[in-house]
Amino acid sequence: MDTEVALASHTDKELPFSFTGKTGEYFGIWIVNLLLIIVTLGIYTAWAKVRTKRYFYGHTLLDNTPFDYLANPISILIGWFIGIAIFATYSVTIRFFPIFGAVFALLIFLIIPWFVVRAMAFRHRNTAYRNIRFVFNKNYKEAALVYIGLTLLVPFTLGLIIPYMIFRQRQFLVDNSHYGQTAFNFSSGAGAFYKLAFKTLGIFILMIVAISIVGGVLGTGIKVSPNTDKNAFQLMIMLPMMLIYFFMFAYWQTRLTNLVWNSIRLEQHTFRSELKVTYMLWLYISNTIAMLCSLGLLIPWARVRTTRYRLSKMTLIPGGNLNAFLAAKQQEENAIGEEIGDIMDIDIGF
Amino acid sequence: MAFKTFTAVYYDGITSGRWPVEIQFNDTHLTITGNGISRRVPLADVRIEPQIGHLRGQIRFADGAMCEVEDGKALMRAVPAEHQQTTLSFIHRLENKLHYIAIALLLSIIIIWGLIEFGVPYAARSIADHIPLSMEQSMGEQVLNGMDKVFLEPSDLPAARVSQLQAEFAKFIHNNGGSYHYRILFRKSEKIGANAFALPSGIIVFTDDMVKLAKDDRELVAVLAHEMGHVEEHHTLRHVLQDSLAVIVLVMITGDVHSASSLVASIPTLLIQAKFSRQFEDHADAYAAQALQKQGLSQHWLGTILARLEENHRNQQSLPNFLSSHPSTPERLQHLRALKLHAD
Repeated sequence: MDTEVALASHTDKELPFSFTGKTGEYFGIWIVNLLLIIVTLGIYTAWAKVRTKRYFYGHTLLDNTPFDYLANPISILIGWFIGIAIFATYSVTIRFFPIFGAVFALLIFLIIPWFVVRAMAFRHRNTAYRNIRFVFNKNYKEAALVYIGLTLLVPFTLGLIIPYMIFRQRQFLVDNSHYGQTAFNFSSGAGAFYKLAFKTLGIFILMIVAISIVGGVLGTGIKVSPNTDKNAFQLMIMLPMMLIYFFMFAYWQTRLTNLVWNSIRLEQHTFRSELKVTYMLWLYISNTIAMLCSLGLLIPWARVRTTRYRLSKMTLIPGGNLNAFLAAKQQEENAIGEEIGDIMDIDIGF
Repeated sequence: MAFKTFTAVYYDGITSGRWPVEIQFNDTHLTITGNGISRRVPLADVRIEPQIGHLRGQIRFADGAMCEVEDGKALMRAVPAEHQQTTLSFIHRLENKLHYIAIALLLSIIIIWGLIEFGVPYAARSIADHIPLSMEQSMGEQVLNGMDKVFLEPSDLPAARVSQLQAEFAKFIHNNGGSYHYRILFRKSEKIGANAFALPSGIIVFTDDMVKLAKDDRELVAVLAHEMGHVEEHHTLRHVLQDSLAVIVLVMITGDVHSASSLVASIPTLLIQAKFSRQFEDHADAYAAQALQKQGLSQHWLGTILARLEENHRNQQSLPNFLSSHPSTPERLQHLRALKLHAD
């Protein structure tokens, strides 16, 4: 075979990511998944997950080529069984033997590195682009260092180590990732993470001060009498606090995502993520309200529009030919770490 | 023999190159040609990925190569049914038919409702009934120890008052003839104020404020009867099991709802758990009304102490009914009156 006749891979211009999934179509998949999960008492979860991921990956296009999700539902099912068993034991036991809660939390904390590595290995192994799978190096030692070692230092450094810890964790995830045989690497230093953390904290403090001043002025003006409208007064404080919380959440998440993606290198290829905080905030708030008011029926709509926006702001800036990546040989991975992490809602990923 | 032809992209699974090719189907074989590639493979040796939505179609070969066809649905029509995964293509059809989706939706709602309303309470009851007494005792001790550490202090009540109440309670318990060996404890607690609660294995705790709040000892007996209702019917165990099972059901269903949207999963959980709690309170009230009547005591005493408790707590909080763990007092009094009518 000769590279010249292969489909042109534009090496000279930027390649935007895009998402072509449709709300209506995904709604059908989602609701049938839901029904089958219920009638099979959860067993269908494994197939539902594979169909959902295949749908989302398959509609994620880069250079008019989709991504692929290749996991075997059976291995997800095994992981799911173990995860549900642990979760059920935990949630019943903790109520009667509160001491067990502490033991369990410690246990979870100690095996987090294992979770992360196994989940990443499973996810990468089952993600492909142009029929080349991703690979995650199972580096348990470094995982233990960044997820346990650095966390233990948090109290002794009065939390000042947290941005460094987040930096090292993201760096760990990226540096151990490969596309086929080609390694990703993380080009940012800890400085950018400190800058972002201090900026976030600064904005937070400013907003609290502003709210307190406004609240103080209103408080003296209104004269809260002892028996009238205690609720209204509480609401006046609660609502702005919730808005601030949402804003800070959106700000931190969005800027962190941009920072991480903008620091990822794959040989000479780079990425660009340009998510806007205000738009992400709008997505979080409108999605939450829509999902609550529709009793969950708008979940598919929320997911599709969020994914579409996120991917529309991502670009690959190629530094050369995209046709020359080589596949790596790898073993099958089990889904135990991935599923336990999912059920316990441990968020893993870039 | 009819040939069906598609343009496709070929990926060899070794490099990331994309090769435009042409594929041809007949009933038994698949032929790929173009760009120096020429393969003829029996259909039995390839895997056609099940169709989802309007995703591109994929044909996977045993050696790891893959062919991608723009129109996945057309590809499915070209492949003889025996080479497709029939269950999954049935699910695909389900996902694409609006009337099936409407039925699926309706069924899902009914089943979730049925699970929460009947399935979960039934399962919790069957499990609770099979938990051995020794395990219940150790749970009760554990919870009491925990509470003693966190918000309970030794009682300040005069010893004479305590032993007088203990005697009255013992008489009531004896005449009631329950299946548990009861232990009545008195504790002081500023944090929880006037209250009484039942723990597994027949431990019942009265706070000092609760004792002081009563204007007649028969009111305290009525409270005891209510708490005994919780014990006899295994409410603590069932409550915990129901809450946990409901969470497990919701986790199973919403398992993939993430981060910011987890609020969406936690609110229904709260509502469901509050509803369970109110049902248990109603049952305990009904048990108390019966037990009081059996010993010639008026259930009026339960009504008066509830009303005073309500007044006592009113300054602290007022949640709308659907968030509250107890039924509203007017509602409880009304239920009690209804019970009385039945009894008469």
